[in-house]
Amino acid sequence: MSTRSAKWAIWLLLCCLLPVPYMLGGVEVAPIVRLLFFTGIIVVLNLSEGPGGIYWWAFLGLAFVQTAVIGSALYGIASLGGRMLGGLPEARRAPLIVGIALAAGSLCIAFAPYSTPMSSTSVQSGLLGVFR
Amino acid sequence: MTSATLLLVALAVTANAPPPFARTESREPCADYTPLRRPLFGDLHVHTRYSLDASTQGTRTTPAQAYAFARGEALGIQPWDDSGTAGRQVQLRRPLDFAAVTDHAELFGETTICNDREHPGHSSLMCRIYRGWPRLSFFLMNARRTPFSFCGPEQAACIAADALPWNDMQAAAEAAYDRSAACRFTTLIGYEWTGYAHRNVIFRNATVPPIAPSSAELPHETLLWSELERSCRNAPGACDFIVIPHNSNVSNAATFQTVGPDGTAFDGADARRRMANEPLVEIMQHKGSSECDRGSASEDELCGFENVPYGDLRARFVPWLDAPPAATNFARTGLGVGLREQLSIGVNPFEVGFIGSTDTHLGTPGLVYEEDYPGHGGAGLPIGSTLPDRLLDPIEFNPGGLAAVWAEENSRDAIFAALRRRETYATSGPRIVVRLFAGADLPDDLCERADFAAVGYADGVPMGSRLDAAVLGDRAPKLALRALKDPGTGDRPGTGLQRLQIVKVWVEGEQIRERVVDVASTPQTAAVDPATCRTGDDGAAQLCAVWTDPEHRADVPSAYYGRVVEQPTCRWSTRACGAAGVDCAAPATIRSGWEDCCDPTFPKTIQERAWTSPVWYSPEK
Repeated sequence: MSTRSAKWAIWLLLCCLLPVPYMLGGVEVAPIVRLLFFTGIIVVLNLSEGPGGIYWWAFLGLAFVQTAVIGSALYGIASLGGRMLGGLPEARRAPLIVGIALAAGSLCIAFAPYSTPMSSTSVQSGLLGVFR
Repeated sequence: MTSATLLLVALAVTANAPPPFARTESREPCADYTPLRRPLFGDLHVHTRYSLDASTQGTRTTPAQAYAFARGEALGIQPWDDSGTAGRQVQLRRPLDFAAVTDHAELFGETTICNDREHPGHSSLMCRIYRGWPRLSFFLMNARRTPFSFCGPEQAACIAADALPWNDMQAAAEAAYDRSAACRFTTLIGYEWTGYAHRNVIFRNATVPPIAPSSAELPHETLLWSELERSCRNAPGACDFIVIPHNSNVSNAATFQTVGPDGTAFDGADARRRMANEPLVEIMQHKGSSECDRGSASEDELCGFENVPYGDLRARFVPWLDAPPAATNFARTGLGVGLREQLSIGVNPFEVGFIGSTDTHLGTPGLVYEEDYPGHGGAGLPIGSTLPDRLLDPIEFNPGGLAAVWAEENSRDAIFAALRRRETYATSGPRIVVRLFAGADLPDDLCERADFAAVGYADGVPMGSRLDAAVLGDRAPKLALRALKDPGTGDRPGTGLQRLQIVKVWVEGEQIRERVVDVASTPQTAAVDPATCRTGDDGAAQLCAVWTDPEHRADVPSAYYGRVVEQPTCRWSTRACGAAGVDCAAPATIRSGWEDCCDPTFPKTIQERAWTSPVWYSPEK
C-alpha cells in the first residue's frame, strides 16, 4: 500500500469510527459520516421541499461548515498518520491498517461510544446503531 | 354581632342562592359546595403525543390517557420495546382535582400527518426524517418558515389535519370531565400558543373556537387576543378564555415588556386589554421558577430556588445565545414594572396572579415528585428505546409545580371564575394549603380564630384582589397569611413548614423596590443529609401571622404576596445521583453522563414552597 493510499485509508477509518462533536440543533458525538449523511438528507429535503426560510438556510450552512471543517481536520490527522506509516515496509501497511480497523470497529460495535440523541432508538449508540 | 357571624348568617340565608359565578354549562350541581371556598389542586400545562417536541421524544400518551393519569391511573411511558411495551410505569400518589391538556398548536397538522399511515404525506421525506431521526426533525420542522409540500395547495391538507388533535383533545376532556354530583375531576380545554413568549390558552367550558389559533398565523400575543376575542368571547355562545404566560424566566425579557408588536409603548387601553386577557402568570414549572432572580436584582436569599442559568430558552440549543437572565424575566420584577406603568399611564398591565404547573411532555399531569423523577421531556432529553445511563433531565430542570385555586366546587365554571379573579396560588409540587387576606380591619387575633376565612372575606379581600384605597384611608394594610403543610400520603408524609413570608414590591421614582419579611417561622431549622436524604426536625404543621405594613405610604402603589417555605429536602438530582451510586468524593463513581451530579452550581437540597397571588394597593385617584 502506498503512503497516499494509506493516508486515504486512515482518513476513511477516522471518518467512519472516530467520535467527533457536532451540532445540528442538538449536540451529537459520533463519526463524521453520520453528519455527512444528515447533510445529504437536508440537501435532498431542501431540493424536494423548496426554500424554507432563513433558519433552514442556516441549518444547511451549519451542516456544511461542520462537515467541511471536521472532514479537513481528520484529513490533516490522516496525512500525519500516512507519513508515519511511510517508515514501514509497504507490505506491512495494509495489514496494520486493516488490523486497527477491525480492532477499533469491534470495540465500537461492542460498546456504545457514540452520543446520538437525534436517533429515535437510542441516545447512546455503538457503530451499528449509528448507521441504523 | 361580629362581622364573621354576620357573614355566616348571610351564608345560611343564601344557602340556596345562586353561586357567585355564572353557570355556563349543563351539569348536575356539585354535592360538595363550599361557600367559603376550598383549595383544588391541578395542572394546567400538559403535553401529550400531539405536541411535536413530545412526540419526537418518544411520548405516546394520548390526551385521554393523560386525564386518566391525572385521575390516578397508572401510565406506561418511554422507552418502548419493539412490541410497544413501556419501559417505565408512573402513577400519582393522589389524584388531581383538575387538569388541562395544552399541546402546542403549532405543527398540529404536520405532526398528525407524519403519524397517519393512511395519509399520502406520511411517506414524504420530511415525515420519514420525523420517524427516523425525530430530534433532527424537531429542529427542521420548527425552523421552516414556509409550508411543507405535503400540506398541499393553500395548506389544505395540514389545516384539515390540524382539526384532528384539537377535536380529540376536546373529546378527551369531555369524556374525563365528571359532570355528576360527585364533581371528582374537572378538565379544562386548552392549548399552548408557542410564540416568542409562550402562553397557554384555557377555555371556560366546552364552547371553543373551531381551530386553535397558533403563533404560525398570529406571531404576537395581541394578535392572539384579537383572534380569541373574535372567535370566542365576542362570538355567539358561552365561549370565554384566559391566556396564561409561562417561562418568563427564559423569555429573554419578553413576558413583561410594555410595548406592542409595532414597538409603541402601552397606553391605558392596551394595559386594560392585557389584564382582561392575561390575569395570571405561571411562575413555577419544569423549566424553572420565574418568581425572582438569584442574580444581582434581589438580595432575597431564597430567590435561587430552581432558577435556570440562562435567560433565553434558545440558549439550550444555540450556545452563543447564552446570557444571564434579566431582572425583567421574573414575575417579582414584572409586578414592579406593572406598578411603574400604573404611575405613568394610570393602569397596571401586570396585575397578575400566580399558578404553577408541570409543563410535562410525557403526558403526566401532576407528576411533581422529587423521588424517582422520570424527567419531563420538553426542552430536555429525548429517550429512545433504551433508558440512557445518565440524569434523565438536564440538571437545571425540575419536576415542576401545581396550580391551586380557591373555588366553591370542583366544576369548570367555579375553577374558571377562581382563575379569572386570581384567587389562585402556585406550589413547587407539595399540596400546601395557603390563604391570604388583606385589609385594614382584619383583627390582630385572626390566627387564633376558627372563622379565619369567614372573617377574612368579611373584613378584607383574598389573594388576587385589589385593596380599596377609599376603605383603607390613611391606615396601613394588614395581611393575614395562614398555611397548612401538605399532609402527604400514608407512606410518604408531607414535609413540615419552615417559614411564612410576605413579599412587598413597590416603586420609588423609577426604581422597583422589594422587601421580604419573615412573619412566622419554626424555632428550629432542619438539616438534611444529602447522602441519605434523611431529614431531622419535621417543621410546623401550620403557620399563621397577621402582619401590618410598617412602611405603608398612601401615595405609593404596592403589591404584596405570601410565600410559604418548607423544611429542606433532597432535590431530585441528589436522589437520582445517589441511586446511581455517584459519590462526588470518589471520582471513580462519577460515570460519563453523571458529571452534573457534582456541579456545585446546583444545590443538593431544596426548600419546596408555595406562592400566593398578590394583593395590590394603589392610591385613590
